[in-house]
Amino acid sequence: MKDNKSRYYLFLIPLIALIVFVISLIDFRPVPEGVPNDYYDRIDLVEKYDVNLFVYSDVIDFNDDILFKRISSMSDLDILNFSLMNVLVIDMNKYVLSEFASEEEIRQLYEVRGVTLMIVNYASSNSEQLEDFINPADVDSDLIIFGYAVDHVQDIGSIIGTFPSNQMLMYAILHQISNTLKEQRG
Amino acid sequence: MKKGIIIALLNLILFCCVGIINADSTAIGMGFAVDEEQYGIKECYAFQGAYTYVVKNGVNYPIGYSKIKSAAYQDLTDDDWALVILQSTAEPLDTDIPTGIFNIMRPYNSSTVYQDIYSNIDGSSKTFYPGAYIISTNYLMEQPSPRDEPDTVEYTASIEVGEEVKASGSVVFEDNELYLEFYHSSSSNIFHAKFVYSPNFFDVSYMNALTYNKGTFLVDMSTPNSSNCGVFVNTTSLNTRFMANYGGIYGTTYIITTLNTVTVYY
Repeated sequence: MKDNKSRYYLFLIPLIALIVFVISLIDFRPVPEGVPNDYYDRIDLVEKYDVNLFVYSDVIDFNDDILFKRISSMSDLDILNFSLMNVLVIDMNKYVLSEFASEEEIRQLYEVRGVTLMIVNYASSNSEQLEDFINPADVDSDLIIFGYAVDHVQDIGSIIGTFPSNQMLMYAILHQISNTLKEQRG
Repeated sequence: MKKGIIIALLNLILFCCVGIINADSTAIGMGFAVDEEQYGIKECYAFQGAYTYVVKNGVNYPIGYSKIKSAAYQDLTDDDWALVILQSTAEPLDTDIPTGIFNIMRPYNSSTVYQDIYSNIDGSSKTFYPGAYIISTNYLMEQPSPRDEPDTVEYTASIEVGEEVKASGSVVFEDNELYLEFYHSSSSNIFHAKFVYSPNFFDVSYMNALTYNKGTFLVDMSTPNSSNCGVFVNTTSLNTRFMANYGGIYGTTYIITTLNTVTVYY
């Protein structure tokens, strides 16, 4: 009887260890291909600081890995003044086709209300809109950022060229937001 | 830090004997903070970022991110002078890349090999190597406006290397890790500064970490050259070389350099 019990445990313990090992190999949060392995670290940081993220786009969805608000007009923007960052992503592929906001309204969002603007797909959409707002040095970029530095000075620039995939573009948006958070929070 | 400055001052007294020479210690680690009375209120920074990719089977895999950020200010107390602050960022990104004949996704460890900053302020390049040995030599800049007596009290020159942005305050390094060597030649009116970062033993932590390097330049607007004719414009180029490796020295390694350029003006 005792031998049977010992055999039972001798079988059960390695079996449990094997099951735990196999489960540990399963990646429950697979990183999209062609994206750095810190993809979820970026998301966790953005969520940790409750970044208020608005997206005006049909294709930017962050794989539903992060909470964001998809908007269709300026009236959908509920900017939270107490939030560390309010970020608005404007996809120029969509902006071309509809009337989202005037150039002046977008300028006001950034300069007066302090919203960080991320204008995506500007180069690839061949858009000529917002041309008075965007620096000529940035027009060949698919990610143009109007942000504020840690000392509240305007911090404007872009990422060189276009992106190899929509996944990488979405990663770059999260990367830029999380790096700004790191700089602001030290 | 203090020890380094003392050594530098002793070197100066021994070899140059040109009176009081003092690299502005407040500039070291000041980030983008400037004296607003002298340089006015900061208005805007310009930056350009770039992702560095390895292309495998027609797919791009990012292995690094680099950024150059810059700001230019005119000296309100002396129209002949301007201040330019540059900050470069190198951030290795670890990514899974298909490897071998079966194209199995393997995690590649990415690191920074070096960053090379070129500025048309003085037409020279400065190279920053992260890791166990960081050195920037022959940092050649002209003395501020010619004076009867060489005087660099107003001179601003700094290099910052760190894992975090130092927006203000002092950079903290372990004893003997960072020191400054400089001398001034009164005959040629040239100021030489050498910044040496040398951590103990083989500390390579900076290779895999997000690092910031910063250079500050004073520009003599009264000297005509390509960079300061008419409206002052400074163009800075940054070459960043990243290395991604899987499997150590017998594994697979990619080494790729990316160029960023940013122009600031006022």
